[in-house]
Amino acid sequence: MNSSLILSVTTFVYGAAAFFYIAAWIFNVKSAEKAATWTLILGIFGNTIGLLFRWKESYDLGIGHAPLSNLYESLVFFALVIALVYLVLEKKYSIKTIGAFATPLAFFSMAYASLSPKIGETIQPLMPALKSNWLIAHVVTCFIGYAAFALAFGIGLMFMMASWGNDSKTGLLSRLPEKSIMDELMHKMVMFGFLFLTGGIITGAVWANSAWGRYWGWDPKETWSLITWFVYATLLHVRFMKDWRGKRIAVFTVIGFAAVLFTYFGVNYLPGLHSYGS
Amino acid sequence: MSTSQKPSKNLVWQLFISVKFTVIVLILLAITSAAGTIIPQNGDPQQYIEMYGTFGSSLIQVFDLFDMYHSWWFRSLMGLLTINIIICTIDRWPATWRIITSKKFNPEQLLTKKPYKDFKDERTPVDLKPLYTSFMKKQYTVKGVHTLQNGFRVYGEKGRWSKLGVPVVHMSIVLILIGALVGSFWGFDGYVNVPEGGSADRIRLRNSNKIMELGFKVACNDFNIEYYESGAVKEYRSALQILKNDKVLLEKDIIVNDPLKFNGIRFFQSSYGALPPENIEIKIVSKDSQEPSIYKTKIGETIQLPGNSGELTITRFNKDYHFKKVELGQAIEGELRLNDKDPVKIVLPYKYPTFDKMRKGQWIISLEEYDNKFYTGLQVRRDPGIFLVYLGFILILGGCWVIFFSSHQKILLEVTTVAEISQTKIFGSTTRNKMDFKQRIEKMANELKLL
Repeated sequence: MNSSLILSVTTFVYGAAAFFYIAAWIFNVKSAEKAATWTLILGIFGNTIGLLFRWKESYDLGIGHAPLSNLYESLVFFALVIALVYLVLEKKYSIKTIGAFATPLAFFSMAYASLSPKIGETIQPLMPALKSNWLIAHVVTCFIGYAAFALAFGIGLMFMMASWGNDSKTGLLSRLPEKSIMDELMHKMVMFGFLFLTGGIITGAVWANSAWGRYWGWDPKETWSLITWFVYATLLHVRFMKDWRGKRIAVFTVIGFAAVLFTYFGVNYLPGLHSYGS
Repeated sequence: MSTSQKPSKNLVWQLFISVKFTVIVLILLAITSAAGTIIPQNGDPQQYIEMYGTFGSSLIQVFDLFDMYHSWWFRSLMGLLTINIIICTIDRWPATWRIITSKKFNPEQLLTKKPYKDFKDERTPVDLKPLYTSFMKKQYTVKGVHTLQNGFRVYGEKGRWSKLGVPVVHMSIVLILIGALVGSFWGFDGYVNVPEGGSADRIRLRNSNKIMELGFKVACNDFNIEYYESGAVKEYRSALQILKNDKVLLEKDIIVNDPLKFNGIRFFQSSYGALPPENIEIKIVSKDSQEPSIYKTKIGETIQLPGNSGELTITRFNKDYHFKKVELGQAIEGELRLNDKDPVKIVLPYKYPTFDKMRKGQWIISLEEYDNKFYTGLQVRRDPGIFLVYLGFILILGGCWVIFFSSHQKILLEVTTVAEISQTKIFGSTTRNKMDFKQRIEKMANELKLL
């Protein structure tokens, strides 16, 4: 058994979990809800084991390093964090409809990693600049932040959907959580994400300082992470100070997540030092 | 939440404390920063003219878009944000401080709202009072216990200091920017190439291109590259020494991510390159006789070919020779002048010592031996602002944590007897995280029932 196989299977497990969550929401089937949660837990288990195996395999190859060093590994880790953060949210607030919007994101991340021909799956040795204890701290904080923003985005989409239905809430829309709850959760995820994005930028800065002697150099990835930070800082200010709620915040979570995605993927198409991910 | 009591505070002040202003500055910073990632920064002027045309590139030049993060207008935007942050903090400080230090607690205010939770209990208020009071004391600062005609009230609070989160985060941003300023005024950023076995006592500064004396020597005794089996680079390592008056003060092997520090100056492994060889051994074979002759030579020297048929000058060392767009790497170049013929350029790449055969000339020249030495490229930096920046980093994380995960919470428990049955009501308020607060009160109700 190797990590590639486990992770490929995990992709389908996440797909199944997403399917169950969506089915439970659309057809209002309680049994599907239960199946969804257990499938998701199975997916998280597979994802974790897969990453641990990959870690071990890299040591067997004599180039041992944490499985967080390229685009493939980061996508797999991203899926794991999305699934985990969502599961915590589900346990804490017992709202399962969010799963219909959150688990597909974990599935997409894994599917993109496994299926895109552009993304190399082979375990690569670390280039000298990546050999640092900051690698794990930096990647983990960044991706917890990204995952929280992904969930805020998912809830934002739900909120927008709920807003289409206006007052005559029937069927699908009636099974979405109450708007005030979605609003609060969206906000919560953004705050959580913001804390970790800040941590991610800081660990990156400290690392850059130990590798190149500068904590900030306006490299495109750094700059885009700061732009993302500005977007969410703006969201927090209009919410705290101007009491913006609901739909406006939902729109913000979409813009913010677009900035996250650009920081993550788009920057690889721009020149700079951070191009390990491509 | 503005607390300026005097409406006469001037317009500039009003502008700087408005959220609209903050939002506009943040959005402008986001948009301009994004522009800087699309327009290549600090590139070659020729490249800009090719990309944007003469007019476009001169327009971009006027606004410093080629180095926009250091332009006057980008710095002004950062300055505006800083002033905005400072003025907002000053403006709100009195109110914040009042809340943090206030001893006042008005229970009536909590009672005006609906209770979060109410439930019945079979025990009497007399039984419940000590239980509830000690329960409250464990989790909150109890501010009062009142006896009512048919029951009692106990109330308390926690997290008053959470109000500090916002000013701490804002001030830490200012601290980071001050640290950056200190670094740019009193720090420096330069580089130096030190040959293996050699040393350097001066560096070139990046911004001004000026030479700076270090006041000591940095020597590189050895430079090594380690490779993975795949051929990818595993490690660059330079064995460095710091010397003053020929005395070794410090010795360290540096690799990427692990610099050498001396007197607040840090030396980073940044690049490397091959040095021109000092001694070269060349073999020359005549196509006719196939008889080889070996010559020991140096760059700049000229060799007489056998039989006085001409001469060969070793002209230079090429770090990066390209043959028909194929990269062949380091090479030694020379000029072959045969009698009565035009001079011919000779190239001897390290990787392909018999490359010259391809020329199909009268003489075949090949590289036999050369000494392959490297120089190590060091980044040399001093940043006296780093301490402030790191302090800002710690404070901003702590402050964000406080803002997002703690709040000023007030709780009031009221027990009254109605028809011999005790009725408990939980009133409360929180500055943030209402959902968690509700969950907390649910949990509290369950715990109270089980006391």
